[in-house]
Amino acid sequence: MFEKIYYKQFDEFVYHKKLHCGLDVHVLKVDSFKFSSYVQLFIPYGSNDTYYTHLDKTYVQPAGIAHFLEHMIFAMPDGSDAFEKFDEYEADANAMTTRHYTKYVFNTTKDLIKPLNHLLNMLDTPYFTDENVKKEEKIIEKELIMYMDELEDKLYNKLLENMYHKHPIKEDIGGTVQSIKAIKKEKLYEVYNAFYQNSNRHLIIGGAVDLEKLNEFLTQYDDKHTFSEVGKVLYEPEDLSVIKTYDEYIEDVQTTQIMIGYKLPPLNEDELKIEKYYTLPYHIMLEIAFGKTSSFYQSLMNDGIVTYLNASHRSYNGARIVEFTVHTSNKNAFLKRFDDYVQGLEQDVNIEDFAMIKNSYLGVYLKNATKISNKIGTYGSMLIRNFDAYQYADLLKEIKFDDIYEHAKNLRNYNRSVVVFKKAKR
Amino acid sequence: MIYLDNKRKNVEILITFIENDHSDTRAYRFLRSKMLLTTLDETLKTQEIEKKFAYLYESMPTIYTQKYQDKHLTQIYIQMPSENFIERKQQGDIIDLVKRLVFMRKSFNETDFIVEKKKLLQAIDNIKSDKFLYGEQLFLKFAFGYKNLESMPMYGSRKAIKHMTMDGLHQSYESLINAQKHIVINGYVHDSIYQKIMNLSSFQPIEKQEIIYKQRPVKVFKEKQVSLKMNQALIYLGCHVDAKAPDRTFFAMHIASSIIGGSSASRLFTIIREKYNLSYYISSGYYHTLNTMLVVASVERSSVDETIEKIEALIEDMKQKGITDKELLIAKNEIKNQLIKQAEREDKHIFLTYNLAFYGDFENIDYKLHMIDSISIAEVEDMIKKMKLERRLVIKDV
Repeated sequence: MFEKIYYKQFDEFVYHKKLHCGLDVHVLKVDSFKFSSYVQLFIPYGSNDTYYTHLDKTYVQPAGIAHFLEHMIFAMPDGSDAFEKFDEYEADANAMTTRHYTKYVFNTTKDLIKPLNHLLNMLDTPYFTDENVKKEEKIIEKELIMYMDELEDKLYNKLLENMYHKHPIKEDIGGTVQSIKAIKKEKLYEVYNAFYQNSNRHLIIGGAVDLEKLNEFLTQYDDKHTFSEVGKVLYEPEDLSVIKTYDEYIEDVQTTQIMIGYKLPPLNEDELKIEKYYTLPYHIMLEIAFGKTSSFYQSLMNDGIVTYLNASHRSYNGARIVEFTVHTSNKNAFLKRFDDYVQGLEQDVNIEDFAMIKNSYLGVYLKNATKISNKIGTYGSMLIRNFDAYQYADLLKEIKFDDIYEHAKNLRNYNRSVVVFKKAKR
Repeated sequence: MIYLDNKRKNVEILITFIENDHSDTRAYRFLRSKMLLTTLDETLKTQEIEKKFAYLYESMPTIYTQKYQDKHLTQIYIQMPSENFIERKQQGDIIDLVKRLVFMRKSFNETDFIVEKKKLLQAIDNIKSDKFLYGEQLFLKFAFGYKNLESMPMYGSRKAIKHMTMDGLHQSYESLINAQKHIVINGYVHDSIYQKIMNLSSFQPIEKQEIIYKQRPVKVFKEKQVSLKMNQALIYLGCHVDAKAPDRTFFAMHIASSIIGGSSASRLFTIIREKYNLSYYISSGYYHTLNTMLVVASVERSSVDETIEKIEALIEDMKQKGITDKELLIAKNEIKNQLIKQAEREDKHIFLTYNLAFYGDFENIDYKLHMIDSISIAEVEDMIKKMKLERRLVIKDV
């Protein structure tokens, strides 16, 4: 049966079970849900993970292979598309690839077990042929070209390209039109065998769930599957210099768009085990210093220099970035003000704002958790980064102001890259 | 008023103001929503307001505006953590702040007014950066003469925004504050907090409205091409449809649209995307308040004509041969599942509760499920037979 974990403050239970085959199952049952069930299956293999070892052999795969595999997994051995059966079971299915994981999701208001069985069956029966791989290549090519029209993605990709020498982050999640041509069925099987095993799958189920029926199904599933070794992702060490410090392009924009990226040393293996303890203080520091309540943001808005300013921190295996996205009517004035500000950033970080942002984060977290798909999505994405989402309120209490202060003080010491998209002069 | 006493982790409050539509203009209403949360007086500036709400657990109200027949609804949504997470006093502080800013406001700040006007104008400029949305707006403007899509944020026209004055803003606020008001509270609050909420204003009982969607005039062009710097091309094909909410044609049209391009089992997805590989993104939608059917596809620039031909052939084939029982069943199930999921979503609960009280049966889940079930294959085919995707817009880099 399931292990039952009670979270007092939330007055909620999480039901957990780890199968012998390695499949890790978490159920966030919601009693008020009578019909709707939501399922998200996380595989911690994303677009950054092109270099890895598996069973004593080292592999370097083309950029975009994680995303390509996500598409191809829907091809069933009988030649059908897995969506057909999801439709038949009245389950709304989808999938997505990020930099560090791939997830397969569905939701249904009918029987949960049939589409769940189909989802696992789909993942257990890869079917890649020269023909279906070639066909999918054409579809993905169109997808990549479509995203090339998304200016925000284009700007972000350009920034990463100018910041990183060799880390796979410099490539788009989907790869390029050229890189996907190198993806063949053999390579897809290599990645599948290394990372798509049950021992690398985390299944999160939320909403209406019949635990007894689910347990029965999982026991039967476990009997038919065995544990397999998972690949280990590798990263070549990358120095902290950037390739280009400044780059400017003429684009179809109304207001100038700027991205600034600071290249931080990546977290090491031990730090990654408690990643949230490193990343959350950074988020809080950026929110205090650059968020909508900061004096810097307010003064830029009031002076009409920016219409949009967002700061965030991203941590991946082997890479870590603090990035800023800005829409400005006066590029030079903005960059001057920004540089001056960052030089003395710690002076603007105070303990009152620290308390404020912690409260604000708790409010946002609780609000988001009322949407079930967000709730299980956050739970799953935190789980694969070794963090229990229900501990978020406690973690917020534990964070110390000194950490925030140090992060603010250090930001100016890292190398950075700036990319500008501006409109053509008339 | 409606009070849903339950164990939610965050308590929600929804206050609805109902004004007659002619009492104001769209631009004022939109700007007014922003201005209610800016500088109150010399003691409370915009930045401090933002900070206070952030300190009070990110409880800054969200204000929505929407048109309903001859009325205009402004909705203020406030959320705060339950007593499991914060103290009662902090909940009270949130309500006090909302009272000062929204219900007891004496004036607006002119500098903030100028800043908000400028932001609105820039928001209109930025619509172009979302090419799908921009195309949709262009299509509705060129094909049917609509100046703004009603489901979009209602900025108002550039001209109207430029001509707004402080006097006009104050009049607009008077109209709001004197309007009829409804309230829904979702989640347990202590009696003292409940009293504070009820003291915000005088709230009236929610009365059910009659549903009437008026047919709109059809005008302007049939075909248009717009040049925009982009790698792919966007195709918009559409037409007015002979459906009218809330009668049976409304439900039949929803099913028809789902079969044509509403899911991965739809004709557009399986034929244009999967069989011919012409498009990665292709779908259709039915805008019931505009009585409009719209097909959108992103394709390679060289495939525009071929894709349009194939879409037309696909519709023609459906007209000639009809739809299958399986397609009807999948579409019905899909729509019903969406409705059930919506009804169970905790984050939508307060809005659905209000809508049910205000709009009546048309928002009733059981009524909708029953109607979907009762639609026959002939009714859906009838909607498709009357469909002519004669209005088209192509956006591509020429």
